[in-house]
Formats: sequence, structure tokens, C-alpha cells
Amino acid sequence: MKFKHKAFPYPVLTSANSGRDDYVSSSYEYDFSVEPEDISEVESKKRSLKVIHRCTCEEVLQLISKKKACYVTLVKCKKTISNRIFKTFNDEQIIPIDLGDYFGRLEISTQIIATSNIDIFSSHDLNLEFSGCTFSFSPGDRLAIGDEIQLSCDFNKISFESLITIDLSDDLEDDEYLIKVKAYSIQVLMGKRIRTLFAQLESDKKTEPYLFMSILKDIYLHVLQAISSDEELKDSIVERTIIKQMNKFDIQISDEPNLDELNGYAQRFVSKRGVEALSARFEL
Amino acid sequence: MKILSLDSLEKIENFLDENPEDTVLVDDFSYAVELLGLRFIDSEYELPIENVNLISSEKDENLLKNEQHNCQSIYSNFSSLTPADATDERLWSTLCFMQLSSYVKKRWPLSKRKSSKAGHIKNHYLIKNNRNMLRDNAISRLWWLGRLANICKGVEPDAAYDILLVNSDLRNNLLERTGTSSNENVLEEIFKIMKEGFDKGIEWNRPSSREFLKSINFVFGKSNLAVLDQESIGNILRPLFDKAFKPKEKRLWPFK
Repeated sequence: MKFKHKAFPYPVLTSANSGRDDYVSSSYEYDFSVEPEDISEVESKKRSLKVIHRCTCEEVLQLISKKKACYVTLVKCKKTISNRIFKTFNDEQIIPIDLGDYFGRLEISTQIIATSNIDIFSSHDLNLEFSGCTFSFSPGDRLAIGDEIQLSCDFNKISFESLITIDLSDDLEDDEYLIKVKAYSIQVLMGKRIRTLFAQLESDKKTEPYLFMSILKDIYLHVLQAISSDEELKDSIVERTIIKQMNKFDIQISDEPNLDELNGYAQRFVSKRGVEALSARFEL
Repeated sequence: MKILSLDSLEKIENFLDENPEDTVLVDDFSYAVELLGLRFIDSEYELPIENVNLISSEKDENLLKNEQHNCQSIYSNFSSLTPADATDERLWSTLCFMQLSSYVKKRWPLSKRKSSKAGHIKNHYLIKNNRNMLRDNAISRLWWLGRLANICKGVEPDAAYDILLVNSDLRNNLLERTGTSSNENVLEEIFKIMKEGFDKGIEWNRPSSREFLKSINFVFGKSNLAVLDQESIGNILRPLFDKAFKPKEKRLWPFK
């Protein structure tokens, strides 16, 4: 369960757009960058994560300056059963990481955590529901939680399209096609006529955009749906490859995505080689 | 070292789906390579496979001792692998089908299978997901258990193996509750507390063990224990162990 939906026995400070309103106007966010930027490069496995913590709640900041709370950055990778925590009392943090320790989905998040007992805490910015209340924190309690960022670390630079295989199927009607998302590949089964048409459109740069606007868009949609719902695909090559694509477009799928949301992302993935390419040709 | 390519693994999976009772992959892998057109690619792995000495015994009483020996043999000989390398399904499947196949065949004999032959081969020779990599693949599970036993600085590997191999339920729970066990300092305290308890004569039992790990997860939901120092983590976890393993009072009818 994501933290933003979780109930805590104390107020938790979050980012402005988290939907959690324990605090009225204060927020906790962070800026994050990786150097060198391309995390999928294999030449060197050393990277630095630069994190700048931005907390606007005066009372929480006071706890950090008194060293009763600290900023932490969590670097988590389920695939390599790794969960590392980096603590600091400064709002800027440089974290060295070795990509040899991680593979697949890398989850980065930040928190502000109590490091000692805090007996009485309150803030002038707490939601009215808490007005007049004081809270106590034990070591380890989360005072603030930042949004999670996902990165993808992989051995090879595998392009999404290289995972797609197109096969003819005698079981399908001439104009039908079926998309099967597997861990290692995406298989598209096609009826005879559409398979021929696909080959025709694919072979010509002028007609290729029509494929991106139709079948390729459908493939992206199916994959997005599959990775949102199928546990078997977690950390599969297909998931890791689409996450790379999502990172390029700065896309984070919500916890319970609906068809419209996923369809919107699929359209963005194919826009450059579909609508944009055709628009340029027709000078629109 | 040459390893099977990804498309070859997929071919193997498809073959097993279509021929669920065919055992050619286990019986004669060289023939299967030709039959399915499997491809090998060069990898950067340079592993002293010839130094690996795996024991497989039919006798159950030696199983735990053998498991520890095998984990240590794989982990120490393959110490050049990073955790990222050790997620490579191509490497583990190649070792299962080829260089270490005689061990795999004896340790996970097809004749003792509970599922279909295809299911059995997929489970112990291939890697479908993370759970499968940690628990079922005949060789990768040894490396990952070896790693778990060797990563905690404050616990000797022998002591860690005593906990990890006490029961598969405990091991699986530790591996699957990654929220807790993936924090090395928390795992270290879990090992220490359990070892201390078992050395004092407390007997492992499934409900108490599950309750202990569940209660750690519960505490983790509210507090991030991994930020604390070893002593503080121990102070929080020890009462949870005592409570979980405290002999339960028998409740006699009528309940009050």
C-alpha cells in the first residue's frame, strides 16, 4: 500500500499534490537527479544520487536542526532484495550507489524520521481536525513522506519495439489481431489480411505512422494494462523496458489506473512517430 | 562463459507448454539444443564452476547440512557475481541445464514431482519471477540464501544458516517480507534474536514464527526501524519475539 493512503496515529507531512491534508499549507518535497544521467549505461556502474530535501514546515525543520529528526533517502530494489537507507541532517545529500547492487525497478523515496523520542509536537499548520492536539513520536516514526520515484536498471539497452514479435495466426479472422504480453516479449497474432497490410505499412516510411497510431498504440495500451494488473510481470524484461519509456516521458501510473489514463499514456508514447510525423507531412 | 540467450529461454518455456510430459530438456540437453534451435551468447561471467562441489543426498537427515554446504560452495565460488548479476535468469538456467545438471537432477528428481513434468522443470530450471529465483531455481536459490547468510556483519554465516535452514516456512517468510528482511541491520537483529532464543531451548514453530515476522512488519508500518542503531532495533524486536514465542495458555471450554 502506498503511504499516502495509509493511516498513521500522527499527522504526516507530504508533497503538495499527494492528496493527504494533515497539514494545511506546509509540504515536504524533494528534487532528485542522477549523475551520470543515463542509469542504464553499463560502462561504469558507479552513480551519484543528488537529493535536495525541501520541507516548509517550521516545526519539523526545528526538530531536524535539533537532531531529533533526520532526512532519509531510501533506495529500494525488490529484485536484489536490497533496501538501503541514507541519513542526513542537511537538506542536500549526495549518495554514491553501485548499480551492481540493483537490477530492474529501483524505487527512490525520501522521508523525515524521528531519531529520538519527541514527547510533545504540534504545528500551527496542522489541519483543523487536529487543532489543539499534541503528538508524540518514537524513534523511527515518519514525520514526512516524499513521493516515490522509479528508475529502471538493466543489463542491456533493450528497445521496447525489439520485444514485439508479429506472428500469423490461422485461428483468427482475416482482419483480427490479438496481443499477448509475456515476461520476455509481446506477441501479436494476426489474421491473414491484416498481417499482409501490416507488412505493407511497415515497409514504407510514409505509411509507418499509421501503424503507430493504430496497432502500436494498442500494443502500448495492452502492455500498460498488463503491468498494472499482472503480478507475474513484475520486474520482467517487458516491465523494465516500459518503465524506461515511462521515465523518458515523466509518467507515473496511478495506483488504480483506468482505461482513459492508460490510453492517454499510450498515445503519448506513439505521438512522435504517429500524429506528429503525419502532421508534419500534411503541414498541419 | 557462454549462456543461453533470452529467446532460447522463451523457446524452452514454449516447448514445455506444448509438451508438458516431455523430459528431453533434462534427459539430453545437447539434443534439446539442436531440437529447439537454442542459442548461446557470450557473457562477462567468469565463474570457477570446476571448484563448485555440490552434495545431493537422498537421505533427509543430511538435507540441512548439505543445503548449508551447497549454499556456501555456490556463494563463495561465485563471489564475483553482484546482486544484479545474480538476477540473470540466463546464467542460472544455463547452469541448471548444463554444468550443474547432475546435482539438479538428484536434488530435484523428476520422479518425485508433485506437479506436471513441465511445471517441475519450469520451477527448478527456469526463473519466472523473483519468488521463483529466491526459492525454487535449483542453483540461484543457493546463491541468494548464501548471500543472506553472509551479508549481516554482526552475525556469523553459520549462525545465520541455523536460522535460514531451520524450516522452509521461516526462510520463505524472511525472503518474501522484503520490507523487513531486505534491511540488513534489521535482518541482523532478527537472526540474533532468533538464534539467542533457539539456543536457550525455545522450539521453532510455524505460528509463532509467522506471528513474530508479522509483528515486525506491523511495527514497520508505523516506524522505519532501519534508521535506528542495532541496539535500538534489538530493543524493539526482542519483546516481539518473546511475545510471539511465549507458550500459549490453553483455553478450556467454557471460554471466559
